[in-house]
Amino acid sequence: MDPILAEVYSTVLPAAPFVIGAYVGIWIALAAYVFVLARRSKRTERDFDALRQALANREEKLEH
Amino acid sequence: MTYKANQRPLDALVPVALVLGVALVIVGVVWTFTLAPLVQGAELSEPVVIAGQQVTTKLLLSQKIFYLHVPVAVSSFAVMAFAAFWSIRLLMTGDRAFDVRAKTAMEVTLVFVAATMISGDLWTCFEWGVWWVWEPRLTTYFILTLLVIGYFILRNAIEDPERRARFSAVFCIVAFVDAPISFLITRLVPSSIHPVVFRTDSGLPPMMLIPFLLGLFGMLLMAFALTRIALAINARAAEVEELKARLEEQDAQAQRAAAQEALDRLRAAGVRVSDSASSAHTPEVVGSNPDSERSVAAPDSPSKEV
Repeated sequence: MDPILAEVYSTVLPAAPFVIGAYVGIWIALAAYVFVLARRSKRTERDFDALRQALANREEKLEH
Repeated sequence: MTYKANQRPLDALVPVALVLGVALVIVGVVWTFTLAPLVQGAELSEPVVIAGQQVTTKLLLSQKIFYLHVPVAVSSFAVMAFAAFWSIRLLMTGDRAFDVRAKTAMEVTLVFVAATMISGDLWTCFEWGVWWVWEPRLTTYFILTLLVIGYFILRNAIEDPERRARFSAVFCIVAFVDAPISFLITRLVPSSIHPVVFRTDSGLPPMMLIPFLLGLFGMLLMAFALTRIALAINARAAEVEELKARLEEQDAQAQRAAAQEALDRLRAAGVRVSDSASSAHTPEVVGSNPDSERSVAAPDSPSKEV
């Protein structure tokens, strides 16, 4: 490479991992939260179903 | 909880906001790396012509971090403002639905704060050669980070839901005081190394300003959508927890009632036994008042102790 061009771009290539890391880091942070929310939502639905079942069992017991 | 009744109109906008936000950010990122020019760094030993243009300085790629770093940081301030607003509403009304909203907004704030710290630190590491500098903007934002983390530590430390809601609300409002300080610190302390980004004379050419604004509005829309989605999930989780607590309380009440009934039956049987025993062994007191003996044999105190 032309030494002048090499000087022009001397800060570009070394910065690339940091720039990529920053962009990926931001998306990973957001994706991690979405993952946590998805798990929480699933757990809540499971608990809700369990509660509904418990309530149905209780009503059945009361009827008998 | 009044969450569902109040929030449906806004929730209808969530899918649109999410898709539009992600699309704007993606377009902004693509623009940043294709059309936006690189900023100029240190002087070259001699000028060079690249693509018909004279270049006299080194080109800085690291500055491209700011196209997303600044929008993420601004989003963290915006969401935290909502957390503080909902905390004030909680203290004004006592409605615990606002506690769920404030907690949710603080969660989203924590995510954006983490994203800001990651991207900012990577830029700091490359440009300044160190992972951390006690510079005013970094320091005030670090304090904000600690306060947001402290909010969740405080929440986990208090068992009683009422007290937890009130204490957390006060803490959130106090913590939010640091947000405008951190935002304005580059103006308040002119010696700060951080540039003043939001100003009318920024001099950003349109090819740099447009991707920045795309990223900013996209990230704000994403923050809005994430907050609403998280709010729906957290509100439902809170309802489930409340329902669980009520069912457990009902179970406990039923058990207490059954225990009381069994105790009453035992007491009545005891009285009958003592009556028959006293009448068998002491025939001379047949004519005495049986009620007075019963009161001696079985005082009322056990039922009060239960």
